[in-house]
Amino acid sequence: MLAVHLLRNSSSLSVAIVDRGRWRGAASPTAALIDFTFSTYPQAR
Amino acid sequence: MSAWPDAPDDFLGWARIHYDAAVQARSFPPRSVYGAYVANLLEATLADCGRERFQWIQDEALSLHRRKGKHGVQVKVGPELLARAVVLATGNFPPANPSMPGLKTSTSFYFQFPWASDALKNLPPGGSVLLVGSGLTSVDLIMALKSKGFRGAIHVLSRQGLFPRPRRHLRQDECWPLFWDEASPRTVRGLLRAIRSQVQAAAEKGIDWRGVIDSLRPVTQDIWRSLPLKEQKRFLHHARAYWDVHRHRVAPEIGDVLADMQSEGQVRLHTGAVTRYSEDRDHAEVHYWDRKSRSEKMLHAHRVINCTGSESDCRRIDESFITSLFVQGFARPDPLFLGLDVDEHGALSDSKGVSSHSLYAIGPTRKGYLWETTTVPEIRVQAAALGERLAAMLERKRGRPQGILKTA
Repeated sequence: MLAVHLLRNSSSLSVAIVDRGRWRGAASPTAALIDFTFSTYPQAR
Repeated sequence: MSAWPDAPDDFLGWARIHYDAAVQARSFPPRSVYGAYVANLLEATLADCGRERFQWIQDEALSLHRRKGKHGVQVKVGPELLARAVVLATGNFPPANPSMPGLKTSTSFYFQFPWASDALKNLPPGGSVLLVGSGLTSVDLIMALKSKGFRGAIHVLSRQGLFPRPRRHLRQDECWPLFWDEASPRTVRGLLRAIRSQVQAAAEKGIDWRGVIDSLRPVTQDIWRSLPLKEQKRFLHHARAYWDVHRHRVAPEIGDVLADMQSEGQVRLHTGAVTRYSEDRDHAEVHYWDRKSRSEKMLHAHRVINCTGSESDCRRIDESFITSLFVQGFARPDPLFLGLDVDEHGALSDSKGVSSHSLYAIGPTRKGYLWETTTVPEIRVQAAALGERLAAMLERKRGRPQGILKTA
């Protein structure tokens, strides 16, 4: 989510995410970005 | 749940198109749907802003060093990365072991990580499971066991013996007005008294206590910051467990299932702490001090799973990158050891308490400063503010492309 905000706020910044690519033992391509929803179910709003 | 603080229905609109047209604002879509939403946002952003500006590096950040006015990040496999700014977006750290005297490194029945792929595998159908901790992780595990068809006993042991309370869909007229302001008490005792009195006043008008708790949500971080350090410590010691179960509630449907499983006797909640742990060939033997009967009791379990939640004390986290920050004085823990010491923008405080201009944290590592910093409505505000701040700061400095490294 931060990467999205960084890229949209700037016309020139480059952004890299370094991530081990694992998320609590589950395979998820969006691991780093959804990490903070761990153990809670998101409410739609 | 939207990624945009000023467009709170963005996720809802996306979910109606890509997940289920019938989804409502009060629905609880699975985590994977939210993951797909964020991935979709990133994809759309890259299409708009240029893919060459973004890299996803699958590697492990090991340490951070100063390199000619920039930050050098040593990674496990690839070459060192250079960046003008680094943001720690590590999310929750893995759980630490609870105090379990007798627990050995090599164990057959105990799982430190509740999400380990084999944590729930090969359980005997009539066996028993002990979950240590009774928060949201524990409830998730109970639901996972149920969905796997597990019929055995599920024991849950925690110090306070409290499950998260169920959410309830509040009527429009059940919104309670905000009753905290800067003149409110600066003590835990005073705040609890105020909350109780508001809950009573709400009940007299037929309004649920949840409306009162929810009214504090927009100012919870302000309340936390208004408390002196000794009162914050007092809150952690005496009130934290009670706050957590009332504030961080489970979906109504999950609450119903949990209540049924308790009344049927499959889920049994115990109040106390483990005093001794041992294993034989077939099961674990767990002795615990039962607070209600004030006596030592014992449970046999074919699986013991740590559900005490993520570790927040950075001194106890086995992460070389965090250690590297401490060793070199780039960061220090906050005074309550709930995360890292940060300022109002999330900038890391160094070992002398000076805020960095290029090292930041986002999310749960800001817990010492903000207390509530785990849910998306909190994170998106941080992400939007930090995105704006870093973009303005770095573009102003050089007027040409800069590198930002966000470690996760």
